[in-house]
Amino acid sequence: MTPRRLEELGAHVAERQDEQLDRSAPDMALRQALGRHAERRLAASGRRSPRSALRWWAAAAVLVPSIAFGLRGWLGNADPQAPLRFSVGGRDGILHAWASAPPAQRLSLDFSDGTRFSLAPEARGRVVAVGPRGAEVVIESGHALVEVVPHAGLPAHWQVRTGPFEVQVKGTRFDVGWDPGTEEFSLRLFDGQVNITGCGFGAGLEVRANQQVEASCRRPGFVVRPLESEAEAPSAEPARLEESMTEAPSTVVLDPPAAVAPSSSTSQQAPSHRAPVARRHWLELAQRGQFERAYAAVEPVFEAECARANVEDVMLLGDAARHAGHADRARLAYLAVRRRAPGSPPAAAAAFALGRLGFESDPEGSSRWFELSLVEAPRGPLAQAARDRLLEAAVRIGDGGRTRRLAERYLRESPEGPRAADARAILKRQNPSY
Amino acid sequence: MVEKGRRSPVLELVRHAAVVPLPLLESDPAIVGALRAGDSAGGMALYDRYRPYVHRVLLRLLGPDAELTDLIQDVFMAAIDSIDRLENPAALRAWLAGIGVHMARAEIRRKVRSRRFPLFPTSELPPVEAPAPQPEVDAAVRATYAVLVKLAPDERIPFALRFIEGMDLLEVAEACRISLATAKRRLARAHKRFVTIARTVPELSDWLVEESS
Repeated sequence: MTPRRLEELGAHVAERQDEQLDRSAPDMALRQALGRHAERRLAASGRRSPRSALRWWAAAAVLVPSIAFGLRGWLGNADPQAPLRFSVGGRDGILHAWASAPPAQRLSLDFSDGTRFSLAPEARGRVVAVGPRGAEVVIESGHALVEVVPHAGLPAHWQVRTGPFEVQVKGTRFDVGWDPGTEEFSLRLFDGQVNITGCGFGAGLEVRANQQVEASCRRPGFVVRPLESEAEAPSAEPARLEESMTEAPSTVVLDPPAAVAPSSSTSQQAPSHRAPVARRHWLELAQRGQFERAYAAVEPVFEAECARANVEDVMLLGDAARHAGHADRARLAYLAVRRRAPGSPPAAAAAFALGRLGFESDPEGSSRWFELSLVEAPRGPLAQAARDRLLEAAVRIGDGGRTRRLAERYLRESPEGPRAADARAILKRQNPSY
Repeated sequence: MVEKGRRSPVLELVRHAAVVPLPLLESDPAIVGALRAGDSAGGMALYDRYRPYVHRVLLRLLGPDAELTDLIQDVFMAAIDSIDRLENPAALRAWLAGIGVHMARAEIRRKVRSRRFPLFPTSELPPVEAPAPQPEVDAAVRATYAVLVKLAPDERIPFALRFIEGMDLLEVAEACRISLATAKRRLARAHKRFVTIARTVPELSDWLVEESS
């Protein structure tokens, strides 16, 4: 084949591909996301890992219908008195219907004026009222990142209720959280201004940008302190990997001394949000995927954090330890999750993590953890991975009968699974007529 | 009837609509400037202007590939993240091609690794079913990529850029971030290896014969 013929073949291939390209349409969700990414580039000093694309695309899949909905809503909202419309995870929202974010993913409540409530994994909330310039949203549990789009000259009427607290919003961006178990309220305000009322806030507290507030009905008073850093504002998009942050600033506690000491009845169980900022710093690092730095930051108080952080954060604590090469500490954290939230989705995820932890050295023990995670969450997000790992562990152990049984089970439960071909190969080897 | 001297409400609307500032970024330096300023219009303009090109380069390098859409996104995200490292804003297109090459190479290597380290030895696996032929992809295209898969990434990429995308040698060298001499060497090696393998592929037999002029 001469270079000329090669060029002709190449031209032929290119021509066929160009026909395919001509039919491809631009991805408007990606276009919008790139616009937002460009905007945030300066604020975020870090880089997004290209390999985070899979997780990012999972969010984009949700965003596509959301954006379509947003455009439709925006175009359809010509009447300034018409109430806003909203979508939940890209589908038309229903007033008063609860929305729960899955264990490892955020869930977006998108309003037709561009405002977004991004529920953190496992958070639960609902929209209870909508008006032309705002809505009332209830966060029953967990955290939500709220990004209210201000409209020039028009007062916004956004209200967030969480537990016994109410947050009046005036064009802003903040993260609000409520733990019904410990009755802990927290708010981190990145932009704008809000007013909080409810237990302990009396006539109301004006909170300004770059402040964070913590309170509980179980004790008097509240804590207001400077936000650790604007760069630490969580993103509505999952898993942004950013570069390292500066050292944590020193804490400024503005609450009265009486509010600092929790009552003895809560000191054992409730997470103390009065921990020094340095102790909470690990969480921000871990959320950015900087596990070694996160582990280094939390190492001196690791066991205390296992006891006091919320279950979702303890899971992350385990991941940080695992990635930093401290399997024993990781095990401690995962076991703490299982002890503190038995039978819950995090407990099943912790079982899976425990199985993965000892996979190389103890496939037998790992198998039991994988089995347990499957029993606890047979349709959970890690169920398929647990089935895969169970089969792999059986192959490593070398028990022919067990491997065969697992292969049969695998094909029953996941005939299209990633290890389906391997399962068939196992059965074929043991029974050539299979 | 609209009185003389007064604008019709419709015309008034049109007049206002006409002065809405749209983010028209039509040159590479303007796009780069907007990206460096953290302007969202820069990100969208980059996509508008270069989506077909980036898609095309990745398609040339990888052929039909399930990861293509992810990789397109990766290229744009990486470009936005590292826009400060682009020395010559007028060279945005070539720079994007370079990022595309980098991403494609990583993808090829990832696939090679996953083929090399399966759970079971290949001999124990049942034969892999051939993917259903796509009507829009003809036999020569499929066969070409079946051969390219067998080339090393450092041979396959310059080959695809040169013979399928139609880049000249300098462009190939720039996109691959290698010297012109290295590009020539790799192309010669790729050419030789491609022809050797193509001889065993019936769908390419017609292309091996020099047409009489």
